[in-house]
Amino acid sequence: MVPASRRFRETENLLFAAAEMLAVLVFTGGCYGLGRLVTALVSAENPLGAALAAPLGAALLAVELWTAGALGVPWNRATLLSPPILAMVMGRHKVVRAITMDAIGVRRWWVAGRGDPLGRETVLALCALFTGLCLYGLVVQPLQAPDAVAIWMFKAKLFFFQSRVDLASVATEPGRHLEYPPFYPLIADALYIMVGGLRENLGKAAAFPFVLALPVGLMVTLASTLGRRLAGLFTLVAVSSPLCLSQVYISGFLGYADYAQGVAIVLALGCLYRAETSRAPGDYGVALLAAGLTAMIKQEGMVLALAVVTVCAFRLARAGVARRRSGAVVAAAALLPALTWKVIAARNGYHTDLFAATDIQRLLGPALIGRAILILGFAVHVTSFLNDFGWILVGAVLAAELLVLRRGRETSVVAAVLFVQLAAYFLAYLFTPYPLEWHLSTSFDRVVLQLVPSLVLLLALAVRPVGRDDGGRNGAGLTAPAYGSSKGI
Amino acid sequence: MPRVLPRIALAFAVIWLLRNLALDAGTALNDAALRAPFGAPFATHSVVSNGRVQEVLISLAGHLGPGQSVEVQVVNGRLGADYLRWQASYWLFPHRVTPLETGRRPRAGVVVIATSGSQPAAPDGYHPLTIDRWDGACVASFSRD
Repeated sequence: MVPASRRFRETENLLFAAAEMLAVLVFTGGCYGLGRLVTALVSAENPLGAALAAPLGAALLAVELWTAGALGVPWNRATLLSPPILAMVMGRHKVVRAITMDAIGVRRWWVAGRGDPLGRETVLALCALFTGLCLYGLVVQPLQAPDAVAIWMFKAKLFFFQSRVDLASVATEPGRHLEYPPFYPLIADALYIMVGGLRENLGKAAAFPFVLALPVGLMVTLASTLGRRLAGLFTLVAVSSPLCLSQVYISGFLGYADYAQGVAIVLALGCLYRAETSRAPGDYGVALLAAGLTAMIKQEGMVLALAVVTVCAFRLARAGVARRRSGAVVAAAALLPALTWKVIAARNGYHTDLFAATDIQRLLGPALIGRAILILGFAVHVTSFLNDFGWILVGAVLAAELLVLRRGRETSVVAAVLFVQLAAYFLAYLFTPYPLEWHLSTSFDRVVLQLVPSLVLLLALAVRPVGRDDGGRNGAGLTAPAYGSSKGI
Repeated sequence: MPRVLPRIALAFAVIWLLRNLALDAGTALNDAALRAPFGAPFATHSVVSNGRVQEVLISLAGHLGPGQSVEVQVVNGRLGADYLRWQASYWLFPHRVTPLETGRRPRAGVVVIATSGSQPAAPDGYHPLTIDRWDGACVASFSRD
C-alpha cells in the first residue's frame, strides 16, 4: 500500500514534469521560429532550413546571451526575448511564408503517403515515440554523468550565476576544458531563463532542438532520392541507435554535447548534399549556416565546418560577383561566433590539450606507427555485434563499397568531407598528450556517436538508385514542390 | 555485385533497425530511473548508481555558510576521487571545491570524506556535520571547529 503522502508527491512531480516538458517544447518552438527566419533569409527554397531551424535558433540565443553578458546587459526574459521577437516581427513575412511552406511540405508528405502505412504512419509513430521518450528522459532523468557535471552543465551554472561568459574563477582547475565553445551551456542558460530560474534537471534538455532536427533532417534529405519507405527506414536506424540515445534518453550520459555535435554534423552534410545536387547558391548558403552551427558545439566540429566551407567556397567561386559576395557574408557570419571564441580562448590561454601539451618530437618516428596500430587495435577490440560498433562498422563498409562501385559525384563530396572529419579524430588520438589507452577508453564511444547519424546518411545515399540525385526536386512530398526552385550556379 | 550490394545494404539496415528497437524496448523497461522517476527530486535519483551522492551533496549544501570552501577526499572508497570532486563542485556551487590529498592537513571550512563503509575519523580541528551510509559506501562531512 503506497502512503497517500507519497502518492500525492509523485502526482505532484508528474504534473511538474509535464509542465517542464511543455516548457521545453515551447522553447524549441521559439528556437525553430528564430532559426527559420535566418534560414529563410539565406534561402527560401531550401526545405532543410526547416530541419536546421531549431538548433540554429538555439545557437542564436546562445550567441545573444554571450553578447549581452559581454556588454553588461543583465540576463532575464525581457533581454533574452526582445531581440528575437523584434527580428521576427520585422521579418514576419519571411517567417510566416517559411513556416507555411514547411506545413505544406509535411501535409504533402502525409497525403502522398496515403495507402502506405509502413512508410507513413509507422515511420511517423516511431519518430514521435522516440522524440517523446527523449523529451521525457531529458527532463526526468538524473544529472550525474561526469562530463555533464564537470564541463557542460557546470559551465551553464557558472555562466548563469555570473550572467556572463567568464571562466576566470575556474581557470586553474584541471578537466574543465575551458577551450570548448561556450554555446552549448549557453543554450541551457537560455532554457533556464525561459523557465524563470536554474533547474538542475532541465539543462540537459538543451539537446532537445537537436533531437527534433535529426529525424526531420534525414527525412528531408533522403525522401527525394530514396522514397518514403527507405527514407523512413534509414531515419529510424539513426534515431533509434542505442549509442545515440545514451546521451538523450537513457541514464548515464545525459548532459553531454556529443549528440548535438553528431546532429549538427549530419545536418551540415545533408545541406551540403542538397547544395551539391542543386548547385543553387542559396543552398550553399544554408550549408554554410549548418557548418557554422557544427563549429559552435564542440571544437572538433571546426574541422568539418572548415571542410564544408572549403567546398562551398570552391563552388561559389564560379558564381557571379554578387553571389560570391553574399556567400562570403554568410560564411563569415556563420563562423564568426566560433572563430571569435577561438581568439578569446587563445588570448586567455585556454589551449586545446592536443596543441598545448603534445611533444611532437617525441611522438614522431617509429612511435607514431605503434600508436596508430594501438588505435586500430583498440577499435577492433571494442567492435562487436553485441554493442553498436559492429553494426556501425558493417554499415560504413557497405557504404564505402557502394560509393566506390557507383561513384555518385554529390555523395562522393559528402563522403570526402566526412572522411576529413574521421581523419581529424584519428590524428587527435595519434598526437594526444594523454595516455593513449586511457584517452581511447574514455572517448572512443563518444567520437563514434558523433559519426553515427552521418554514417547512416552516407549508407542511405550510397544505396539510392543511380541517377536519382535530384536534391529534392522530384521528391516525395516533404521536399521541393512547396518551396519552389532555385537557379543553379 | 553492384546490383546485389544495395539489396544486401537494405537488408542489413532492416536488421539493424529491428535490433535497435529490441534493445531500446529492453532499456526502456529496465532503466531504473525511468521506472521510478517521480519519487525523488528531479535531477537526482537514489535508484540509479551513485545517485545517493548527489542527494547527500545537495543536503550538505544547505549546511554551508556563505563563501565556505570545501575539500573532498576518497579513502578506499567505492567512488572515484574525480567523480566525487566533479559532483561536489557542481552540486555545492558556488562554493569552491578542491581535492584533499592523502596525508595533508585540511584547510577548507568543510571537508567531505568518502569511504567504503566505515565512518571516517574527523580530521584534527573539525567536527562531524553530516554522515550518510548506503550499499557499503559512506560519505561524511566535517566542519572546522
